[in-house]
Amino acid sequence: MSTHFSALVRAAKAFGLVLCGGLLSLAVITTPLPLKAQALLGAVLYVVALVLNRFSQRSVTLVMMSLSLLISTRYMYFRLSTTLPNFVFALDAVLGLVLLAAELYAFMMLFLGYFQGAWPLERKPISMPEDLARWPSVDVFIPTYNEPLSVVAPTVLAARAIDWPHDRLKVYILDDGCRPEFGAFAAEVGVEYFERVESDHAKAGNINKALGKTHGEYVLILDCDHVPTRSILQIAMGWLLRDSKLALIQTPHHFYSPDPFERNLQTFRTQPNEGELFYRLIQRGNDLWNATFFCGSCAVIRRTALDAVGGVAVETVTEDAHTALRMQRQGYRTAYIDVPQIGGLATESLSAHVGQRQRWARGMAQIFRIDNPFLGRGLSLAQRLCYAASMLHFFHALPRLVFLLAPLSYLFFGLQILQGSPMLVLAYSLPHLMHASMTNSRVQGKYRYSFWSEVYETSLAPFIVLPTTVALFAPRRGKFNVTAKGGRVGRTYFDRGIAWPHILLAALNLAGLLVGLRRFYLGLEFADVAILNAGWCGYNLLMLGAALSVARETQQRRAVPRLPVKLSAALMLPSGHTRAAQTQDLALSGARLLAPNLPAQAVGNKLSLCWVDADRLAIPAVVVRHEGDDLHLRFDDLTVDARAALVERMFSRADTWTSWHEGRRLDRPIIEIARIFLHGLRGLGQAARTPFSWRPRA
Amino acid sequence: MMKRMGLTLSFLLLASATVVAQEPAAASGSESAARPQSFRIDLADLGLTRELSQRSDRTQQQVSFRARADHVLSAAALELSFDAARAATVFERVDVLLNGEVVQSIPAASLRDKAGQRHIQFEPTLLASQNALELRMQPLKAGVSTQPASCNVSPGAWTALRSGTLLLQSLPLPLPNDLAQLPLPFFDDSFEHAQQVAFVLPRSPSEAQLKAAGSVAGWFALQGRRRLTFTSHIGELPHADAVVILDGPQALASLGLSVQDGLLGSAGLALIDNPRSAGRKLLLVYGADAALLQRAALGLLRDGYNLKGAAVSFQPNIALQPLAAFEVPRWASGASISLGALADGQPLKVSGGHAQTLKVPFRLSPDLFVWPRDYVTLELAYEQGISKVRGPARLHVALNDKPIGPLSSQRRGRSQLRLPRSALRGYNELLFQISYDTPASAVTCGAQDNDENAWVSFKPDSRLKLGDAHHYALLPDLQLFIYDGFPFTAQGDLRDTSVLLPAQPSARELSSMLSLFAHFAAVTGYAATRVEVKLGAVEPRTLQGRDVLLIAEAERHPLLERYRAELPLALADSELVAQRPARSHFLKRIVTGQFNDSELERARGTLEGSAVGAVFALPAPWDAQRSWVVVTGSDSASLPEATALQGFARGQRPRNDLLLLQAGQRYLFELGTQDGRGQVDDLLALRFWLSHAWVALAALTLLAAIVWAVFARGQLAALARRRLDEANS
Repeated sequence: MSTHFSALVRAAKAFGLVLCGGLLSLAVITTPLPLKAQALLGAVLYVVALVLNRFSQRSVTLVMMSLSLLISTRYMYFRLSTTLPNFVFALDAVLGLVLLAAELYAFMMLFLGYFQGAWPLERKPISMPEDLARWPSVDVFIPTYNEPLSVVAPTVLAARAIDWPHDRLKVYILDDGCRPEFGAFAAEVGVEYFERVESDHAKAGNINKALGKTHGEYVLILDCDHVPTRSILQIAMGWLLRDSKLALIQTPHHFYSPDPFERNLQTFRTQPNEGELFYRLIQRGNDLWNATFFCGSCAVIRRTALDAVGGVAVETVTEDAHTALRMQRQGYRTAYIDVPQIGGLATESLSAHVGQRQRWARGMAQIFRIDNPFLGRGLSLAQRLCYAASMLHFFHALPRLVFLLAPLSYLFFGLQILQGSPMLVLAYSLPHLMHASMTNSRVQGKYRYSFWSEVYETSLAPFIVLPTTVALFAPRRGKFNVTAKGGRVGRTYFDRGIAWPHILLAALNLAGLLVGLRRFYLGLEFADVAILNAGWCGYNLLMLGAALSVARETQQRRAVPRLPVKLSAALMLPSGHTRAAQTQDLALSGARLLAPNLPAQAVGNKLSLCWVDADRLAIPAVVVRHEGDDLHLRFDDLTVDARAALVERMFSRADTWTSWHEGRRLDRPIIEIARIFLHGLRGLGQAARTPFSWRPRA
Repeated sequence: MMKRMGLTLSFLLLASATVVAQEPAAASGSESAARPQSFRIDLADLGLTRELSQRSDRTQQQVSFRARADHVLSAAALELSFDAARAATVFERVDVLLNGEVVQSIPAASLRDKAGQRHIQFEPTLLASQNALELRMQPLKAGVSTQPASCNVSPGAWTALRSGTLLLQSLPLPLPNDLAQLPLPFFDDSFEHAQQVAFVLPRSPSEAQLKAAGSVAGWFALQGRRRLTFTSHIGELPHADAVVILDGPQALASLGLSVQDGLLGSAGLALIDNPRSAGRKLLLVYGADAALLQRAALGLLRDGYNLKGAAVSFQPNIALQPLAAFEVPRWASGASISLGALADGQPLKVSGGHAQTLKVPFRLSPDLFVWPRDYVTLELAYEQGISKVRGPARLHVALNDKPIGPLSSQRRGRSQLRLPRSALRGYNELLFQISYDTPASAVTCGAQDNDENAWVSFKPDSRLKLGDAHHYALLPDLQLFIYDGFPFTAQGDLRDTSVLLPAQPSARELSSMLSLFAHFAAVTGYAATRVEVKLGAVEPRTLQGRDVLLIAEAERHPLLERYRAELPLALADSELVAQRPARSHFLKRIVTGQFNDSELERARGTLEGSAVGAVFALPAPWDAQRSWVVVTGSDSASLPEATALQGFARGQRPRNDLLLLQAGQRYLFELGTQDGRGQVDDLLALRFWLSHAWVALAALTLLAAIVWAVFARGQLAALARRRLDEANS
């Protein structure tokens, strides 16, 4: 009885809060203010938010989110009720509605972003049962198509080393490329090898075929460059054993090589990369709403759940998210543990990056069309919103292009696509943008610095606008494209081939800026409108410049980067003496060590490297450089065991990636906009002085 | 009106005095009647405005002038002031032509020696009854002399002419005593000059006399477009044309006047010679008692256009049709008003291939309330003739000098424009600005400048859409009173208005009252017929349901003493002192953003020093739904007239409740708070109040955010717990 009563009280309290909040919100959103009062309102509420932002409590975050949403909704209400264009001139009206649609999209994504990021779930690993007999059997699938063995081998070797009863762990190389050397390698290292001639449905088809031939209770799927730690299964499996309705546990994709943004803008490890926001915040937020989805790799999946949905989905090119969606429609739950358990290679070039994002965008658009999360049964409203957020995110290209071109419609053609006093529009829109920026910085700042979303979207927008649009109208079209990994950039160059849309957009915005400044300088009619649009063009130029600076591909000598690994080691000299050393970084091709008491070594000297805590396997090495205590070694012709030992030292430790993000500075929006400004100047300068640039053949 | 003026001249020699002045001094003024009178007229008043000169690219500008209808022009001169430095860069010379004859040629180079000033005396032989004054600019020749001179001056070239003033001298002609000539001899509205009307009232005028005087003042305001000023004379006749208000034979006698028996009957009007000044006239408004005096005033309002002869009497009772609330003749009303109705018959077409502006003036109710919309829609249909010489016109629309937007340069176009509510006032001017790009090719100047093939026409069925507008405003708002007479004018006949005066009003107080009645009539197009005038002490409860206008020098009305604490301005030690009105609650001020006393300090600072005139408004203490406006001054001389209230004022805020006039300057203040008044429901009124209380809105926003955060925290924390416990299920 008391339980029912307290439930009733809770429900009444919640109803009261919703009613009160709703009425207050209605008043706040729909009450227009004159210019000065609106400006004062915006300024005062921003100061309030600044004060709130000094407190770290989660409740304060929720207040700031609510405040930001109220102010943004107030702006959108103002836009809809006051600034819609006249509907007599067709072009004005159409362009005005296009701009409005773009803003509505951005507003919707803001809301969905807050929804996903409001309460990221802190899910910790659960211990495995003491009784090993209760540990289930697991199949590890490593699908590959055309990647070189040098990329795939570490993954296989590390998978083989996963801490799991050997009789219940089977590693499979799923080769869609039918390459004999892969078969030989599998045999040499003692893992299973499946090849597939038909290669229909790409990666999904590859996995499904393997599912038909294997019987493990769980499946761990690893992209061929995703080298796992030894702890991956023990980290993930506890939750699956505890909850029989849990279909999959996803872990983050962690990249130990710089992506093109990080490499070309020199931000590797000093600021979050593009994927961190998703893997470190959004997936945790999705987890709260039981809407975590499979990301194609680094997930342990219950076979019965896979069987229940007919295996991995093959209708789209983002089979992973689609499969998770299907499982959840069947009533299965999904979960996410934010403990990085693999190390992978990021895309090497901007063009490869663009190709990968085109596939994701097309795939998400396909799912949105053929298995729309808002339609069909089996999902809660929250799940629908989370899935929709992840899919709609990839539709950012068109709105972004609209924002990049909108001010030109007035500056070039005098089209009034937005009615009303420009200063009033500014007084409403600035608080909306500034509160959103501050709140996002608070919620996401650890995972993505302020204004970088604009840079990423501006970089990708011209390339994914077409795939998403085509997929919306023809969802069955398009093929799976494999992301190239393990390549190199031979020399630094400006990739004009990939940058031309941005050059065009930058030229248009520069012209718009000059036109606006001229109108303002000459004091022509509507000079205030002109200067505001010119300011908009200036901001666009900034973002386009930053996008252009990413197109300056920086030289990358190593196909596989070295990892910072500090381990005690021993150097065995040809003389038979042994000297203690400490590794500083390691790669499969070489190492750098601190060797304090090592006699001078000539370049070309041969010695052996071994670790004192392991099997004392000696790894033959050649001295490349020896200066003071600093010793550089090269590994030639390693045996499988030696490579396995290196892989285990490099990748397999459970804590390999846990401290990767430590030591970063906090997000400071003003610093970030200044940095983007500098990148923008550099990019524009680069584009201006490189009329014809060298571009390597693919 | 012009037709009446034309008729006037034909009556000039028909002087038949049926009214005889008793005063023997009449004959002694004959010399002064023939004395010439001088007038200064700014060229801007004749149409050569700065706005036009900034936009125009025409080589010539033309204005016309004449003497008053009852005068003959005897001499004329022109004073021009140039910016010599600019002149040297835009023209070679300016020719001044009078009636087609070049009077003087002014080379730009010659302007430096006299700081750009030129005085040009016109030969009297060149003067006609209607004169055309033309300024013709010869632009600088571009490049080598073999190139043809340009047909146009560069836009803005005319700004080199800083100002121009016509100096006219004219001789008055004798007028017959004929009521058909009204408003002559008081003023000629077509003659561009300040107009003043003198009123004569008996000593200790009665309320009925003042009410009748107010109606007559309103009638005069309706006869012209310009602002009238008034002088009042109590118990004596002036040496000028005057209106005399009389309620009975005693009043007539007290001024030394008599009329032929039966001429006026019990109520009537008569035009007689002023016995104190030869050549001057008196308009007698006569009633045998108070009620009959009102009949005479109403007769003037009803028959003013059809009066004939030296005198008329009104026998039957006159009952003018009462006006409903907001049924104001000069206020456009309705959900959708055609442009033709707004223009009131004015042509909506302009011709000629040169820059010009078509003005459509119109009045709306000043409390027009379209909120939460902040605009009304103007649906425009227009067409233009496109000449080969000039090409299509560039069209811009502005409202009260605020740019609204361009129109497409099509041969036929339709457009929907939004007129911001903030730009709409009681009196508005819709401006259609037409301009042409200068053609690159050389063309014939005449063809280009007066190209009849280039025209723009706006269709009369274009519409101003007010939609479901209400009548609602935050009051007090002095701007509404100063420019639109609001809230008094909401009733066109002032039926809800009480005008309070001291028991013995001074001439200055009467002048101020008359000017306000005239102002109200100019706003509404209807002279006050149902206003209530009260003299001396008044019991507040009798003012329930009425808007009150009090006109008194500072200490001369008991109501000001009685409600001293409620006023933003009070008398203390014979000085006007600004104060916070008692009903201006602290919290109410805070939520509307009035955090400090800077306005109060500013007002106190302004009040230090010389004599001050003041107008303030407040909710009536005896009826919060009604307004109380007080026109006062620290002394008699500083009590302002209506015309003095209008014009630029420092410290203007969205709403003000105190206006101070000091040494020719105006200062506005907001010392109290406002309340809504009008015809909207309570919820809309509450929301509207909130829209003027941004501090309250900021607090509500924060409160809403906290409420949602509390709700979200409870829900999300519970959900997180459930998610992490799910495994046990």
